Amino acid sequence: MRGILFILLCLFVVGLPSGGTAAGDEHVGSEACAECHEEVAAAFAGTLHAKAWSGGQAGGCESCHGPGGVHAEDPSRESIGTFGEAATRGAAEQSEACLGCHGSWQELAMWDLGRHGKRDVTCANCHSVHKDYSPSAAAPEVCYGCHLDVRIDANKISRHPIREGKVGCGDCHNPHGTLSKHLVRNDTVNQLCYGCHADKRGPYMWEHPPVEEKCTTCHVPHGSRHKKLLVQKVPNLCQSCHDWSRHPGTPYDQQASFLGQAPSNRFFGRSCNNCHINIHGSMAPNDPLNSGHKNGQAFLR
Amino acid sequence: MKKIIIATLVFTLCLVPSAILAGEDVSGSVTVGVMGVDQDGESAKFDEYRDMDDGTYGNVELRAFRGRYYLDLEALSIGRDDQSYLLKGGRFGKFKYSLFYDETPHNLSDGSRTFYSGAGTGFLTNTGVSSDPSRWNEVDYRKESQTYGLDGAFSFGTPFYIKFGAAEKNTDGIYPYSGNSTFVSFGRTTELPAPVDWDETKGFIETGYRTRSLKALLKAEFSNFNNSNDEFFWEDDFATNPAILPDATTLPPDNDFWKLSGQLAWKAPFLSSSFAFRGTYSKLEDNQKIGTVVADDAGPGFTALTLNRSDFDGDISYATFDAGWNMDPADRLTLELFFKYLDKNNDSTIIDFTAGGATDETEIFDYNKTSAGLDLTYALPGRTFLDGGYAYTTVSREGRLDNDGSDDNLLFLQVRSRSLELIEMRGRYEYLDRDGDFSPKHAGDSVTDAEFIRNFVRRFDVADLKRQRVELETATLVADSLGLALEFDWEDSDYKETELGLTGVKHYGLYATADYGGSGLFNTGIYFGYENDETNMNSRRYNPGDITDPAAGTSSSSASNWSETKKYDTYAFGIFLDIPLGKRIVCSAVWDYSDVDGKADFTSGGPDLVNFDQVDDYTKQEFQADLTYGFTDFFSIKVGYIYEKLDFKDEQWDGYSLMPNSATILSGAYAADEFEANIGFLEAKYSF
Repeated sequence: MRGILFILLCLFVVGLPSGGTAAGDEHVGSEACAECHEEVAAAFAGTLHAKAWSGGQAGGCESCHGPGGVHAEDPSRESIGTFGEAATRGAAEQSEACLGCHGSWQELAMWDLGRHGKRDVTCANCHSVHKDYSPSAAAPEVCYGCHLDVRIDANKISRHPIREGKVGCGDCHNPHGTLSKHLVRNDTVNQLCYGCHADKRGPYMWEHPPVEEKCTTCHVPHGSRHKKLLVQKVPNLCQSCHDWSRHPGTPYDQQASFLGQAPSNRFFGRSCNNCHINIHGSMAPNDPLNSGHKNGQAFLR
Repeated sequence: MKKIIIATLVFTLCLVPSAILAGEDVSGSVTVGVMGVDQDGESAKFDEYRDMDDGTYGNVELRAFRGRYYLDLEALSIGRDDQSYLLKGGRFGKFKYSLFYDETPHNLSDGSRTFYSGAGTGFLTNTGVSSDPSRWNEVDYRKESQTYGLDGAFSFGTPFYIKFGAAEKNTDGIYPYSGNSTFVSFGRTTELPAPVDWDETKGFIETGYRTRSLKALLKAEFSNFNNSNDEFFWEDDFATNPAILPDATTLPPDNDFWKLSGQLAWKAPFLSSSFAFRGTYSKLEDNQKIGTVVADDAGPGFTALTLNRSDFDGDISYATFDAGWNMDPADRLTLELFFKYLDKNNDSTIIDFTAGGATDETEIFDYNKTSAGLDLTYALPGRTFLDGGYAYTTVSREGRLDNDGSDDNLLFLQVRSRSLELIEMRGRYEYLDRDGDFSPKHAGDSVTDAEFIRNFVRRFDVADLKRQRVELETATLVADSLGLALEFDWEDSDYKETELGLTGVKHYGLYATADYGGSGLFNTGIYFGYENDETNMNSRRYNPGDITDPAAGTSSSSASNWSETKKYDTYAFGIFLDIPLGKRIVCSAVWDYSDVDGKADFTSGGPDLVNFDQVDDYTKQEFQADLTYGFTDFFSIKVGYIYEKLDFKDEQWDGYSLMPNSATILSGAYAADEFEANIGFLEAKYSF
C-alpha cells in the first residue's frame, strides 16, 4: 500500500507543470541568445538600452523579441519576434514591443492619430536598438529612406542647414504623431517658423496677408532651386498676385537683364526686392498725397 | 548664462581622466584634425552654414554611467564658427537635463562693396564717392547666431511630470536691404548694408500626467524678441543734398509672445478608440513709435504727416482647437474623425496718416479657419489596405482687398499592399477643389481706372483651384541585404477662374534608390531623382488712363496682355560606397550631383518679348573620399579629400554690375554664387 501511494505521489509530482510554462512561453535569458547572436549581443552591450537595463531591470533580449524557448530549439525567423522589413509579424505587434515600455511617453501621445502610425510605419523602421549607442532615429538619412523627394530638396541650392546638422527633421516635425497636418510640431506652420525666425513675427503696422496666413505660400522649407527658399523666382512670385499700372504689370524679359538692351532694377539682381524690401511687413509711415511714397503700404521702408 | 554653460562643459571634461582611473563606466572619443582648403569663387556660398577654413578642428564624445545615472557630452567643431556643445544627463526613469550651446553662421556674400561708412550700425554715412566703386568700403553680408540654454524634466517614477527650459539666442551681422529714393523721380534705388543685432529670450514650463492610456499636459511658453535697431538711417545719394535729413528704413520690431496650451490623449476601452484634443491660446504684442515724415521729391525735403496717434500697439491673438477620434468601428475597418479650428484676431491699433487733406489708413488682417473630415482604412485580404478620406475646410478673411474667404473640398483614395513577400506597393490619388470668395474692393468704376484691374487679378493663395495629385511607389528587400525603392509623383494645379495671375502649376517627379549592405564585403547606396516643373502666368501691362480690362485685348501701344511660362528640369544623383579592407582599413566614398535647367517663354499681345534660357540654372557637385586605418581598437587615423563645385547661371544675375544704370547703386549682395573647392584633411581619433 505504501509503495502504491509512493508511486502515485511520484506520478503526481512529475505531472505538475514544470516552471509554470509551455515551451512557447519559456524565457531562456539573454546569455542563451548571445551564444548564437554573438555580434548583436556585443553591439547591444554598448547601447543606451543596455545601460538603462543594467541592474536587473526588465528581461533583456526577450523583452522585445518575446520568449526564446521555441526559437532556441528551432532557430528560424518564424519562431521569434522579428522587426523591420523582413519581420514575420504585423506593424502593430512590432510597435507594441516598444510601446510596452515607452507607450506612456508624452511624445507618443498622438501615435494612433498620426500618419506614420496609421500607415503601419513601425518603431523599428526608424529606430535601431542593437547597433548604435543612441536609439534615436538617424535623421535625416532614415527619413530620406521613404521621403525620396525631400532628399533631393534638402540638397538644392537654397536650403535650411539640414546637411550641416543645425536643423533636423525633428525640429519641425514630430514623426510620432501630432494633430497638425504634415506632422508639424506646432499648431500652425507660421508659429513653427517663428520659433526660429522671431524677427518675422511682427505685429506689423502694414501686414502682408498671405505672409500672415501661411509662410509656405511663398517658401518651400525643405529646399528650393530659387533663392530665399521661394516657391517661384522673383519677379514671377510677386507678379502672380500683383498687377497694376506701370511696373507691376510690366513683362521683364531678357532685355531688362544686366546685359540686356534696357537693364531694369525691377528685374536684374534681387528684382522687386531692390525696392520692396520689407515684404514680411512694415512699420513705416505712408504719404497719402503721393502714390510713389507708400513706404509702409508698399513695403518700401 | 553662456559662461555658466561653457564652464559646466569644461568642468565635466576635466572629470573624465579621474573617472577613468577610478574605474567608472566611461567611454567616448576624442577626434583632432587638420584641414587645408583651396577655394575659388564665392566663399560665402561655399561656407553658407559652416566654417571650412584652413586649420585644426576637434570633436569630443563622452558617455558615463554609474548605476542608473548617466551623462552624455557631445562637442563638435570645437573653436570654429559652427561649434556646438550638448551635455545631457539624468537618472533613468526619474529626471533628465541638458545644457547646450550652438553657433550657426549664415554667410550670404563676401567682398561686397558700399560707398557708405558705418555698415552694420544704425547710421549709414554717405562718403560722397558713390561714382567711384574702387574707393568703396568692403562689407561682408552675414549673420551669426549663438544659442544657449538648458532644460530639464522630472518625474521621479510617477505618472506626473514637470518639464522646463530656457534659451537665449543672439544674432548679429549685416544684412542686405534696399532703399528706393523718394527724393527724386521714381525708380531709383540703393542697396544698403543694414544692421542685425537681435536677442531672443524664451522659456517654457510644462506639467502633465502620462500613462499608457491617458496623457494630459499643460504648457506655458514665452518669447521676447529684441532688436537693438528699430530702424536704420541712410543718406540718400540720389537726393540733392543727402545730408539734409537722412531717410529711415524700419527693421523688425521688438515683440513679446506668450502661449498657453493644453493637450489630452485618451485610449478608450471601446472600439479600440483613441481620442486626442489640443487647445491653445497665444498673444503677440509690440509697441513702437511711428515715423512722422516721408521724403519728398518736391524738395529736397520731407512731408510732415499728421497721425491719429504717435505709437503703434500691435496686438494679435491666436486661438486653436483640434480634436481627433480614431477607432475600429467594425472588423477590418479603422476610422478617424477630426476637427480643427483656428482664429486669428487682430486688435492692433489702426493708424491714420494725413497730409494735405488726404488720409491713408492701415489695414489689419483677421481670419479664421475651420476644418473637419474623416480618414478611413479598410483591411483587404493579403496585407492590402484601402484608404480613403475627405476633408472640408472653410476660411473666412477680413482685411483683404480681393477675397473674403474660401472653401476647400479635399478627397483622397489610396491602396497599399504587402501581399507579395517583401514587396510594398502604394498608389494614391488626391483631388482638391477650392472655391474662393472673390470680392474685389476699391476696384474703380471706369475701365480706364487703374484700380479696375482688381476685377481680373486673382491671387493664387485664395483663388479658385482644382488640384490633382498622384503618388505611386514600390519598395522591396532582396535577400535581406538589397533594398530597392521607386517613386513617381505628379501634380497639376489649375487656377480655373483666374484671368490675370498664376493660372497653372504642373509637377512630376521620378525617384529611385538602391541600398546594399550587411554582407561584410562592402556597403553601397545609390539614388536618382528627376523633376519637371512648370508655372504659367497671365498679366496685363498698362499705363494710367489705358484700358485695364484684359478682354479688351491690345488697346494701345502701352497696354497689352502677356503671359509667361517657366519650365525647370532638375536632375539629382548620388552614390556612397564603404569597403572594409581587412580588419583595420575602411575606404569610403560619397558623390552627390545635381543639375537644374530652367527657361522662360513669353507670349505677348503687344511688343515682342525676348525669352531667356538661363533661369536658376545650376550644377552642384560634392565628392568625398577617405581612408581610415585603425592602428588599434582605440586609435585610428583618417585621411581624406573633398571636392565641391557650384556653377550658377541666371539671366537676372549674369553680367552683374554695381552701377548697371543711372537709377541703381548695388553693393554685390548675392552677386556670385559660384565656387570650386579642394579640401584635404587628416584626423586622428582616440576612443576610450
